[in-house]
Amino acid sequence: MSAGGVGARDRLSRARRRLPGVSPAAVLWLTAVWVLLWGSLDVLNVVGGVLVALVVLVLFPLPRVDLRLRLRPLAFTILVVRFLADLVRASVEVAWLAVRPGPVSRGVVMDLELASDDAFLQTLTAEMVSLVPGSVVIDLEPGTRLLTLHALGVRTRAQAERVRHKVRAQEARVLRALHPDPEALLDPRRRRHTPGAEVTG
Amino acid sequence: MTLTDALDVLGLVFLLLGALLCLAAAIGLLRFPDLLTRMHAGTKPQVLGLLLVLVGVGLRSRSGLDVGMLLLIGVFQLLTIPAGSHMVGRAGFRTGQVAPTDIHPGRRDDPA
Amino acid sequence: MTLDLLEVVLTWLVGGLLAASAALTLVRITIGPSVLDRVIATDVLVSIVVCALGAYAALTDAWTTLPLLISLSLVGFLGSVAVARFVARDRDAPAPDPVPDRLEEES
Repeated sequence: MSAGGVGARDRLSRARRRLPGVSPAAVLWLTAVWVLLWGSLDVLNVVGGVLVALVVLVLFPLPRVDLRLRLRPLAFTILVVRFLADLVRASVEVAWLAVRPGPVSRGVVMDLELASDDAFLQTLTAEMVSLVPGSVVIDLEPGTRLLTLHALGVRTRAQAERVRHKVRAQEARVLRALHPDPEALLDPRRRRHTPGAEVTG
Repeated sequence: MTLTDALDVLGLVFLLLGALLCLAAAIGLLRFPDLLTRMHAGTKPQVLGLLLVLVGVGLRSRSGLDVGMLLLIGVFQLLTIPAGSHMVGRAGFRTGQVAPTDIHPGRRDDPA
Repeated sequence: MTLDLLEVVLTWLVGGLLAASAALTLVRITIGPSVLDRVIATDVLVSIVVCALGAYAALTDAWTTLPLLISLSLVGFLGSVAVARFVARDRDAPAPDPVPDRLEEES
């Protein structure tokens, strides 16, 4: 930030205290959506977009999401590229299962415990798991970190374990890309004992 | 064959691939035996088919703001389709509408 | 000349494929059997309509349909979520008890 930055930041934080729901990122995002909806980039659209974004955020304040994330560019690139490749593979697989002659395949319902406590990262993992090969998410209990999913074409215990392994790998990629300290969750030697992990029936 | 022609034809090919995946999703929807397997057909090929169609449209449009709008549609769909299918699957699971042939290999995998 | 022919053929192919998908999806919506099956099929139908409108825009240069696509995809999502919530009235009911494990051991 420049010399005027301190004053500007001061004013900004004061403004934020007065308007708790209004975050600059949200204003920017809503303005971008507004401009894209109008389909042309000019002053009127940008000003109108900022005004609409402010009105929306003041009238419908969102709960503050406490995101403690750290973006690692390399791990994030791996996450995105791998996800797109998985999406293509999953689509082709399911499409083939749908059109191939012969008996149609069934699946099983299974569940597993996620490593992270963060609701945002859990949601991101669940959404991605729904789109990668073999699995669709059915249920997610954030408190107990229990993810219930449906796996297509699983018949044996070893195949079920393979699906669990894949989901864990997906979560590991998400954590490595965004979590501030992924190894604390992923490394079994450093995994902290969390009370509450035992209460599931 | 000029560059724009090539892009137009490439866009058409993407549209065709997307339409093929839509068809596969519809066939899967019809052939799969129960709700949860149908969800597989309703999410994966559908999302990719839609994204391919959007890429095809973008290749033929080639105007920056149109591409931005297509990107917006793609992001919305990537966010909403899994969430929607999750809601449907959960509703089915909790009201016991899953097929009785489904197997449940235990609540927890590692009790450690 | 051949390029034009290719375009015509591909255009008809895309239209035919999307029409066939929509028809198959309508069959699933009709035969159900449960509300949730119909919701999933309706979601797919909305996606197919989005695809068709996009293809229409691309093939006839009718770029004004693009904002329509955004609203359509969002509204379809809201509808399916609403129905899912309506079906799952007892939303805090616990998940069904695990039935005995019937997985085969790997041979």
